[in-house]
Amino acid sequence: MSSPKGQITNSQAAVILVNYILAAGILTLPRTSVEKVKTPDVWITVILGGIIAMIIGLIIVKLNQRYPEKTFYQYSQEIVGKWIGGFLSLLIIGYFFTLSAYEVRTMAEVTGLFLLEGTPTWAIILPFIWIGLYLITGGINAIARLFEIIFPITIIIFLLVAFLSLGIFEIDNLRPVLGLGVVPTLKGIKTTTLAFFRL
Amino acid sequence: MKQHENKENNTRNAAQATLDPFTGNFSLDLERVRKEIGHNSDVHFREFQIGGTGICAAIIFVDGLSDKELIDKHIMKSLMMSFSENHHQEPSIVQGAVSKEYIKNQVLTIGEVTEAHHAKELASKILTGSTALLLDGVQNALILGTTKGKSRNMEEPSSEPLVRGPRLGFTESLRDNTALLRQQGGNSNLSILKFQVGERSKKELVIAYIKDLADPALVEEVRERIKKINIDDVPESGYVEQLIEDNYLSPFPQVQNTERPDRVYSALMEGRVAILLDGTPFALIVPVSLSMMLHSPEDYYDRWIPSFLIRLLRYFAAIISLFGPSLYISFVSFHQGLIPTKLALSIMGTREGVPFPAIIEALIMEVSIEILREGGLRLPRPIGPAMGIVGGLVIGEAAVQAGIISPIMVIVVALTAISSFAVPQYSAGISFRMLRFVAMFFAAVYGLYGVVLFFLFLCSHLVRLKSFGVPFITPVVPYRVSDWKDLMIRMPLVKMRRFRKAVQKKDSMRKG
Repeated sequence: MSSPKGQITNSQAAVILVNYILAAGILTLPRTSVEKVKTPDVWITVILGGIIAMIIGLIIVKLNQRYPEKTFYQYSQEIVGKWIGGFLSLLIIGYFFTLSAYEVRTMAEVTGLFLLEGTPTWAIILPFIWIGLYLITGGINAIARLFEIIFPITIIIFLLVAFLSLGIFEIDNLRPVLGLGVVPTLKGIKTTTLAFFRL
Repeated sequence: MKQHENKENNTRNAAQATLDPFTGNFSLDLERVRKEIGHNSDVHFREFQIGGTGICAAIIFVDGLSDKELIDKHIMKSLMMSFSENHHQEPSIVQGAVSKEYIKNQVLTIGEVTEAHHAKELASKILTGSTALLLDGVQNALILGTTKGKSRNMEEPSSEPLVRGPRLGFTESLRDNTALLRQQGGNSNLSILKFQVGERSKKELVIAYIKDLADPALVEEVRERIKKINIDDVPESGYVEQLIEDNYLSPFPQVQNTERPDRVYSALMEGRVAILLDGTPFALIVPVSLSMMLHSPEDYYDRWIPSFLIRLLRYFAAIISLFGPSLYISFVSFHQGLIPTKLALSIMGTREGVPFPAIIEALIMEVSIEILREGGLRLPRPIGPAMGIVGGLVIGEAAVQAGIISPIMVIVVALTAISSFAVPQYSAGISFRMLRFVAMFFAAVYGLYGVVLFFLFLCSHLVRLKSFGVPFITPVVPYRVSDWKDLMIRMPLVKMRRFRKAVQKKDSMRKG
């Protein structure tokens, strides 16, 4: 009757992915990338960064298809040998760790800034982490289902905010396109790709 | 020492004796039965002789539980009067003995005939209304089904009234209830299986399902759990509910209970399983999902536009009943800047003289409302409505005048209280009432962030909850668009040809 433990449907995987990308990185994306590029062509940078991220995603999907029923940690050891594979896996784990630490800290700062001035950061973080703990003890199924609940809410609010600000959208601010040449655009790719890199 | 041992031996022997099979010796067996239940004043022993033959027989029955007319006209008459007329020619009779088979097959004009092998079994059958027949020369006793209890009318249940729908409700008699269920639709696949629960007072329990719609794994799971019930007595289906549910720590009910046969039958048609217990009109339905809590059969009896809108309203009311006070507390205590200026000024104006912070104010009002509600359940008929008005108006008004609470708080609390009644399933309404307090606490500590945290916490819990293997928040997740036709909106009936697939497993593979 219940779903097989540890399996999620395609649509659930997609939802998890989208939610993951829409993490705290998005908040600082405009500012940090513009600092690098210094032109109003950052939108091209964002698109290019997204394309690169999609290519990387494609690689990962192909890898997964070649080794069905095996996790990344298992088949990386098969491909490049035990030690390098193990090292790579360790790198990935470390990456996720630091990423989550960064996300939690950003979230706490944003909340402290907008909602709860004066609350110490640890007091904001602790209940959040406890609830996260409660969630992940339910397994990937629970996580996927929760994301499916949150997904529409996030999307609706995001789109609402985006469309409501269409009123102050002036296309003249985008011109001139590529005024300073293509090079600055490429410089910003590093930042935007990293922002999308939460695969 | 020896005396003690002897006494123990005696009691053991006596207990053993009742479990020993009948010997066929008439007086010995009768003696055993007398020892077992003869001391009760409503158990009657009637010894007689089978007409014309002189063979001893006795019937034992309980006054009030068994159908006296049936006993007199069919049992006694066919054994005493008609026997001598019709059967005295039989060769076995002529020889002075009578065979059980003959009596069962040719003489007794009773529908239900079974056998009892020892006194205890006989006793339990008698005490539920059957009549026992002991015959000289026959080893086992015959049990004749003559149960006729008293039951009330099948009127609409007072706990679940509907504006439109059949005005029928289950009663306390299991036989009547199963009959009512069968009447709902002449579905030949409706299977009804019997169980007995309770160690000391064996109550009859019945599970009902439709054979080709319900998942066999689900039926099996239900049977397993019922077999595992190990408790002395099961007075109400609530006991069964608590003993078979998945997670007893969760605030949400994982088993649905209802008094209405139409609700039960439509649930059966969706592939669910119903459990009925003798002695209570509340039937249980498993498995349950969150959507069942907020749906009412009325949604389907009316046309789709009003049902659709009312259903949306109900969801909204459920949200208000859960988050109302906590939102008020968080806005007033933490995020005053988020309220539109005029409203903020007026709220602050009314809260001017209130000595308590918002959370204490809210707690006082909420607890008072809960006390009033609980007391209101048990008020005697004459005072009931008056007390409701007194409680509401006077106390609220007086509290505002005294400056203890602000009028906005009264409005919020009243709105919340009324919204909580919009939830059609009473047990789900209770869960929301409880959770409201937790939400208030979160809001008091963390403001809007707390409300969001609480929402996430609630979702995390709901997402892990399973009812008999079906995730509790089906059909919200995983995304199955064909199920959404029924979740929040209600499409016109012509588009909803097949009822929800959430529980029917025969057609689709499910992951996630």
